Amino acid sequence: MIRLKQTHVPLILLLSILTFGAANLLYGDDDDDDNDGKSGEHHSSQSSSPSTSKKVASKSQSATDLGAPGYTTLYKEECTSCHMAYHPALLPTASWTKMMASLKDHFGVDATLEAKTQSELLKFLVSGSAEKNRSRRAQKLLKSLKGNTVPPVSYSTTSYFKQKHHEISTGVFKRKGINSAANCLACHPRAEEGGYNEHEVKIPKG
Amino acid sequence: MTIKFVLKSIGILWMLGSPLVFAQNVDAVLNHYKNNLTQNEQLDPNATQEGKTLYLRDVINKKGEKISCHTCHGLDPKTQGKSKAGKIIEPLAPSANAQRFTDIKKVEKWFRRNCRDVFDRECTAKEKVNFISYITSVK
Repeated sequence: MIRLKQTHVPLILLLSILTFGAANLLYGDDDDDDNDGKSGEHHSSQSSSPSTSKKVASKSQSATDLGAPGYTTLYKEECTSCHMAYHPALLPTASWTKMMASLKDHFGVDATLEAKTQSELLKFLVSGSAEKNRSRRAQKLLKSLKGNTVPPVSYSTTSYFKQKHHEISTGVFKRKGINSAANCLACHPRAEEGGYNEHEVKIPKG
Repeated sequence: MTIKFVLKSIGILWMLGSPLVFAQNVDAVLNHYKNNLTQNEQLDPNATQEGKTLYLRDVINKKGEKISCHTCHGLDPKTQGKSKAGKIIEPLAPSANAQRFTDIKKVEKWFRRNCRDVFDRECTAKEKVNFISYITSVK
């Protein structure tokens, strides 16, 4: 048995921590925003500025959640007759502004609204856009969009979305039970409430 | 006994009254369009049949896709349809969905959007009269 001098023990410990840390950096999946529980909450309270930490706490937002969307009656009535309720934190302000200004061709469909309704909806979307959301998910989305000159009009075209869904082939999105990548709800049961935790994912087989 | 009688009376009155209220609303919407025909338009004597033809008409839109009213609303307006995004659309026929064609603002919004999507133009008041005549005739 090899005898270690007492002074070597901390050095070996330090070395092993460093090696393990590096391996984790290299091979670890970038899914830390899917970790539940205390570690996530701890992180979000640390990363939040003092002015926003109250908001996070009041919404009891876990690291993986975008938090309560607070959909208005108008939003539910106008936006969800055709599609699921998209959480306002899924896109930045510039995207919502662009989208609401081009409702004549809303993903190939005329979704024009009266001017007053349109501005009220935009106000709601902007009030909860990614910039206003302290979740790591929203912050990572914003980080991935840095340098983009054109704001994305759909979440599913962002590099962040693609990175998070890199293991899902296009054929899967086309399944009857899914329809398209825009139908978050098909696989994320709590999508409308802002819950996109990977552990809750259920992919329809057909 | 008296309570039963009162409840029965309320039930009978409600059954008698509701179709009247419902008819008034749909009629009001229909009359709105009848009163808004342009100078060149005349009411169609076969409005119901014309409306059905319009509902079933297939069009190739500017993107080259085949589209019609029934693409989303289904061949039978009494049944549920499906939006392009995959969301269920409640039946269009008032016989299956009493709320339909009772709110002129809503009706106008959807005619404006859907006519542009399908026919690449807004529908005329005459076409709207025909359409509503057909949809309300489906029992």
